[in-house]
Amino acid sequence: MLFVFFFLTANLISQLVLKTARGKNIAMLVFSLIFYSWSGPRYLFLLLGMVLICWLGALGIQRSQEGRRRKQYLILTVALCLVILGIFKYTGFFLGTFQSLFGVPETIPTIVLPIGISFYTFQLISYVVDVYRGQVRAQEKYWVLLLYASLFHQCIAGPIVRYQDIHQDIIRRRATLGEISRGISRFTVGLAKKAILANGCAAIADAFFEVGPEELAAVPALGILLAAFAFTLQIYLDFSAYSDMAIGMGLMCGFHYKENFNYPYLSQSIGEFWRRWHISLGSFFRDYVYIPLGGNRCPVPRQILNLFVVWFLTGLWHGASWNFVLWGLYFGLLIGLERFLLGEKLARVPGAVKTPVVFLLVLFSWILFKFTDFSMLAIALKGLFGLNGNGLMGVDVSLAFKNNIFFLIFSAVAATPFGKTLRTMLKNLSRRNQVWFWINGVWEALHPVLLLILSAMALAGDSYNPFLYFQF
Amino acid sequence: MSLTKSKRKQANGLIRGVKILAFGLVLAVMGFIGLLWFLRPDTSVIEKRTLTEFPTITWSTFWDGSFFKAVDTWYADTYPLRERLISGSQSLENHYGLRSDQIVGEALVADDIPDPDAAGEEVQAAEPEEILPDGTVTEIGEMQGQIYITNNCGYGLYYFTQSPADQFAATMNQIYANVKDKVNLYVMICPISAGVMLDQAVLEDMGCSSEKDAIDYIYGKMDPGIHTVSAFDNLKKHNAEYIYFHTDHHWTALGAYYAYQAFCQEKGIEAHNVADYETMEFPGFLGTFCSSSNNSPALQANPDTVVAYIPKGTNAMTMHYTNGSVVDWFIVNDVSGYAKSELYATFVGGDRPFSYAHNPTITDGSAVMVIKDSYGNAFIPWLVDHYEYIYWVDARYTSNTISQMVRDYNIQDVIYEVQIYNSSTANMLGKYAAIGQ
Repeated sequence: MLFVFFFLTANLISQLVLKTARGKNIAMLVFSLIFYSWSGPRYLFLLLGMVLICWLGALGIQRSQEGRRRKQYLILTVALCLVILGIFKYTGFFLGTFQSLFGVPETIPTIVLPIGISFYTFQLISYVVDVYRGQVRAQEKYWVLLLYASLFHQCIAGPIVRYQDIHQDIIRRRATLGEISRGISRFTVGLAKKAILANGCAAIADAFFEVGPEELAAVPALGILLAAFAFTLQIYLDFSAYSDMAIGMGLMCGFHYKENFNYPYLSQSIGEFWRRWHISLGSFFRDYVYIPLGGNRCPVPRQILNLFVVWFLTGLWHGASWNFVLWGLYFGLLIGLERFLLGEKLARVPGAVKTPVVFLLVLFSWILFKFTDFSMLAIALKGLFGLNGNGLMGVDVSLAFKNNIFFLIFSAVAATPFGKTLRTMLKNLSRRNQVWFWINGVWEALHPVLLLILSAMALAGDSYNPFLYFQF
Repeated sequence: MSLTKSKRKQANGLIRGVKILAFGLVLAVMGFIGLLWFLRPDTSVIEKRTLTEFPTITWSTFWDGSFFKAVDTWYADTYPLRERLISGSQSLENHYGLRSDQIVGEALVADDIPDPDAAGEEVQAAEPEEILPDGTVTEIGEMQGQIYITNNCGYGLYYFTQSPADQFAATMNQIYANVKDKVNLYVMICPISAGVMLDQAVLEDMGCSSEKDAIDYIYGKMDPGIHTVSAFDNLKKHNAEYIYFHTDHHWTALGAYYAYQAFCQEKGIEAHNVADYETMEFPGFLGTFCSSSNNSPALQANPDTVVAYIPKGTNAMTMHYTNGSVVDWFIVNDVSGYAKSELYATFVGGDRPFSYAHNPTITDGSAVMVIKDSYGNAFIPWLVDHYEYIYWVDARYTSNTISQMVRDYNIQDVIYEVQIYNSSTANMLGKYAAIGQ
């Protein structure tokens, strides 16, 4: 609530009042740094340092004439970024794994994960690589690059915005009334998705999943399925909501961020799912890892290795825990199967069969994703197949389902383009006669206020409201 | 008929302008309201709790971000319109599904209750009893966490945990060892509604424990010198009557009466007839189950009436507040005009660290001390007509001890009135032990 009603309001006023690009950028930088510092000013120095490394590295690349020198700058800069990311995100993970295998070291240092480090590290890496590839010129001003990396719209929750996509907006931007209007709609839709739908789904999932091992083992099979379904909706609505809000806030200020989701749960293959889910991450791995490794233009065994590497890293990016690696490799395996074994056969299967199958495979993946503790994961998986001896259904499960049936249906529909289609229909109708024109007009003018108030209602009782992807 | 292109463009511009203006206005107004610090509430009526205070900043809380996180919590928790926003949110949530039946709260798993016989203690066989109408509820209904709601009634659910139950019995044994030469020690574990009102099969389906078995187990672990008051059977026998509130986790005064009958049986005195008492009634009570279940419409449709029985000897009492102030009050107070969630406060002025009453119609110097939780509030009025002096302390707030009370007030009987959850959760054990010094 503080963010929406105080911080955002003040930020929008500053962008409205200030007339020059420089003034707007300085204000935006100040707001972004305050926003980032909100989770602890100590992390700010890491962000400042990483931006400094990448700023110097990119300038070094640009100013070097010799190819080898440029490459050295690239490797050094990217390596430094990855080492810093590795230290802060993976030290505990690797030492913990080493300890469980070899019994040493005795103590594992506790390193707090700086918020948003995975997002801004990848943004900065993409910037340096793009400068190396000549796709964009290096930014001469440190503070402008800092603004790119710290932009509060997307700094800690994505999407992973590439410098080449917004550097023109940073230099020169003007939000038209049409864009502001679209931004308001997009932002409020995202806010409502997060505050009402995602948090509501979380409550259903958590009732069964956020419990101790004994309680989890007591959940009947359909309870696990219901919780997995709610979590599947939650994670999409939550994450896509943050992208919606980022895109909306960007539009209100003249920034144009690319889409990050495209109704992934309607995919007809796992490959398609990953082209629709967290698009900015998928394209990052495609452009900066998979293709440089050789991509599809190499022998099949090498392609398989490339897939393995990419999905291992994708899993690891999501969290410093083996379950995320397992989750990534699960998708790697499915994509490998699709590409190398089932390709032509799958083409003959009707979409009405493929979409639900893909959805179930993705739903299963979110169970792997949910439990960082492998013993809990094993209990949940056993429970899903009815192997915990609790039968299919219990009173609590049937009531949780009945109590939330309309909400679950609404949330599921919200994960499809149904709303968008309705809106298009309304717009088309509004072109035909005046009545529909004004119905559409009233909806268009007032739906952001309605969503804002509904979101405020939902947020009011939700003082602590963590976002799933903050730690990634 | 459709608009011309130019008029459409003009109208679209107007719509866009209204949209931006309306959004900006709502954002600004809500932001402005958030700045009005003097409108920020300290307590929440809906949630019955003190709201978050503005955090104190220190270098470490600033540096690690916990100060800012606390500011976020404070801002949202004390936002001036928060209660209205929450009410709106609750109304919305009540349409999320079919909510006539619900389960509220977090999932729990009960421990198995060991056989008291196996613990080496003797379990008394029940006496043959008068058969009364059976009010056992057999339907599967709404349950949220530890509350089960069915047929517009809420029921508190009970999950036994052995370790704290054993510790509770051991604590009582220790207290008994301390005080047995000075006073008669009574322990009365009060069952909550589900165990008395719901069918055992329904309870088992929800993984709940048998309250009777749990009470018997705990009593079986206690020193035989302790007078254990078995209220469960008497309550169960009368479960067709209005002995537990529908919208609140407490028993009614009538429920407390049946526990009082059990106490009288244990003490060897005759209980007064309930029909001989004058009553006060306070309709429209919406208790804690309402707030815990986000104001479940099923419960709101079935408000309780608090019926209080006025003691015959005296209705006057004195109570001490936690801040040290002392107030003369009424054992059964007229709470007409109180908030509809606060009507249980009719009994003994609510939960206070120390209170007492003097019954002038008895002059034998008899004195009882009750160590209670909120179930005791409805129970204490029944004791008034059996003792000259009635003292009671709320175990959560008092710093009094039995030794001190015996010394100062010549207490003969000490009653630990303990709601069943407090007998098998660890959080009250330390307090019970401290009072038992």
